[in-house]
Amino acid sequence: MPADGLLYMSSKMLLKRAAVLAVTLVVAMYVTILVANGGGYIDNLILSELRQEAGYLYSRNPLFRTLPIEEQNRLIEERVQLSMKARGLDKPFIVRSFIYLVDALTLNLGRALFIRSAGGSSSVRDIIFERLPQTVLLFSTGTVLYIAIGIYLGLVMTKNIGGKFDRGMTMFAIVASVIPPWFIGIISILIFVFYLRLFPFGGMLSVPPPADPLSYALDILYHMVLPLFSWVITGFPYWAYITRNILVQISQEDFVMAARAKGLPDNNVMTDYILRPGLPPIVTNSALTLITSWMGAIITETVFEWPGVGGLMNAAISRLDAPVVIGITVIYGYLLVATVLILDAAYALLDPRIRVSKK
Amino acid sequence: MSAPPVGFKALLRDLTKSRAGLTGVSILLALTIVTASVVGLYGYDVVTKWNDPFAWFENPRLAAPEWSQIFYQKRLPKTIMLRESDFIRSEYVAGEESLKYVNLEGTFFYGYDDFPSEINLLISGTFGEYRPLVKIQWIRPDGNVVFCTSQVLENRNASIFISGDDRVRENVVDFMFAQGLTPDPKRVVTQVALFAQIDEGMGDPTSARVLKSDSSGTALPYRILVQATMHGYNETISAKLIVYGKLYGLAGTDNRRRDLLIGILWGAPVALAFGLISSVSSALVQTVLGALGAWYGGWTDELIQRVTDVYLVIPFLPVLITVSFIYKLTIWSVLIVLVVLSLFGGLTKSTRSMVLQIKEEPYIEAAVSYGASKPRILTLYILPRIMPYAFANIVSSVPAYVFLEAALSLLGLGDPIVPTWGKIISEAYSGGAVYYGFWWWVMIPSVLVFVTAAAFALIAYSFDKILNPRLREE
Repeated sequence: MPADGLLYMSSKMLLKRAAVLAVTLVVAMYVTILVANGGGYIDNLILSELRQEAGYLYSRNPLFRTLPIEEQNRLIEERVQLSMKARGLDKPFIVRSFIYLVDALTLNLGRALFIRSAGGSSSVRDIIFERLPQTVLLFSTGTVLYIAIGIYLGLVMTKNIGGKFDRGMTMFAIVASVIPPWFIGIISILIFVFYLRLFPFGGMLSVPPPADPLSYALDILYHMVLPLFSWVITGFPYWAYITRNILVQISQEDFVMAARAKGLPDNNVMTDYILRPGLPPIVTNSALTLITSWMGAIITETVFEWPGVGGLMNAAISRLDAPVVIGITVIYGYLLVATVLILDAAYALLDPRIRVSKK
Repeated sequence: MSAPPVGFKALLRDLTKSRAGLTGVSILLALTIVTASVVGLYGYDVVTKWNDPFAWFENPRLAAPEWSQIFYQKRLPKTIMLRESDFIRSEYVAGEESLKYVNLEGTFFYGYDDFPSEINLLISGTFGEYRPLVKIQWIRPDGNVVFCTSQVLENRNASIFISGDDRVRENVVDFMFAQGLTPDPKRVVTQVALFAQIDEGMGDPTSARVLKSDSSGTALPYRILVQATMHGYNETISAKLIVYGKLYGLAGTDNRRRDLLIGILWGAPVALAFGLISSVSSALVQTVLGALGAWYGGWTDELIQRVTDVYLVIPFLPVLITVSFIYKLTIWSVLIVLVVLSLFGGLTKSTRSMVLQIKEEPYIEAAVSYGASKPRILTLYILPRIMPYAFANIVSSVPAYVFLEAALSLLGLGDPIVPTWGKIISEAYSGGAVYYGFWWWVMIPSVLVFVTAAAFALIAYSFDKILNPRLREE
């Protein structure tokens, strides 16, 4: 088959894949919008809040109290209707849910209901981007770290399959991969903070924060040690384990046997025959994990009082601030879908097997 | 990945052959036995008692487990309780005023190296219109008498909280000044001063030394004297003294004086049931759906695959948190939401790819050729082949759900009534246990969560070769 034919086929495949992913994203976002608004339940809360506000506002006016009760109620109701309209709440929820959907998908994130950024802005975009650097600093660093450690250990395990290190590490990985980082967090706070007095209890900066940039950075680093430790220690065993499994699987393929039979040196077999086909699944997994780390970690951030996106998500949920929840989710959804698509495209271009097998 | 060439028998053989699997199974067996005995012994009443604030007042607050004594250099006190019958009673009636004097005297020895955590005197009486006057004196082994308080009983069941009462504290400070000491009144702690040797260090908990009165020694006991003046022949009064210790039971107590052992033991069945039900139901549904899609193909497959994709995009934890937050769910309703949120997932995809391979095998072809119906082939020929895989997945996903319950509790979304490990950990966390070093409150439930999770992980480890069939040869 001519080369341009292949390219044509893969681009058509990619288009189809993109369309499927787009539909997936739209449906997932709509479900999220329904859930975040409690299926319209939050409307009732806002309505009663507005009514209370209006009543309070009028009750301070002495003239208002002289009016007959029906007139008072009519005025309050009128005001409630006006503020509902001003907030765009006058349409039925089902209609608004689609407006929210279009807004979310066009990244028109709008305004938060209650949460404000440190600068006082109610724009969801400002609020999220204010938290993002801290999350990336801690969780993305940690994720990169544990993926790197995990892949390295996985390679070491593959060198001597069934050996002591391999078996010990496999056992450790299976047990350690079930432990969430916040669990290690609580216990390490008790040990390293309470008993050994080595690290601070939580947060990102001392109070007051140091003035000069160097000690500022060191202060952040000092606060980062424990959460980073909890994140990495629970992350890398799983990575060592799956890297090992992927590589071991490939090393049992016929073409690896053939390469070994030809008498190629072990190092060559490893890099050219095992690592190359093993890379795509590892890269896919790494990319998706890295994307997910963007969301932070709700519980780990709560335990360490780390001011990140996970904590924001938790605050938004517990204050029923639907626009913030939707905003975080839609950014995550886009990043996820884009990553999947880019990886698909890259593999379609790079891996001959993928192009052919989908014929 | 090819389908595992094994059935349940081989699965169990692998389990019993490996040391890891056996360890895991024995841990689970032990937990199940404990669970069964807890449910049998206590019944559901424990849950009611657990939430009853008045059920636990006889326990010390935030006491460490008794076995932790081995970690401490000094002997920590246990709770000393003088019940109504332990008090020596003497009564006499004074003439025509119909006044009745009642003396109650309690005696106890105190041989510990540390001070009690609290002291409480409970007085109950029956009296008419005129309320009795009660005078309390503390008689120390060194012969000194501390006048604690003198007050009119307000209720029929009064509690004079000696260690927390301001009047008692003032009187204790006065006593110290009368001894020629110059304590800083702000630093004096009643329950320390009452049990301290009389010296300059007495006024400060960090420097005070215990005045011991060991029953073996020649020293005299501590005595508490309650003198009541009553206004009628028929009126009665009785007292009960609790000198709270710093050690309690096997698992200590929390900040609401609850015996943590009961909460932790009760947490075991809840954790096991929660973990097992959620993992079994989600794994079974995912497996069946994945197989269904792969076997029937066409739009069924397409639909299942697309819904799975949507499920993989929706952020699982935030949705779960939102739903439990808005509807204030109990642990069992959370379970239902959890299962609904896990109807489709990673297992749907891996089952599908396995069934796509099984589909091509000769025995399926044979079945088709002799006219077996599609549902028959699916249920009798395909599903049994992939069940071991699903089973191994169930085992390996239980720990995640056990921890998930704990995580939800940590966010304050746990069950409002049932004590669970997660709820105890989260109460410990919000009660400042990690900041003040109430280690037992955090560590005991944590260790149990971990041991349970590890037991399942160890069993999963013995299934490792089934989950990864290509790695069978070594």
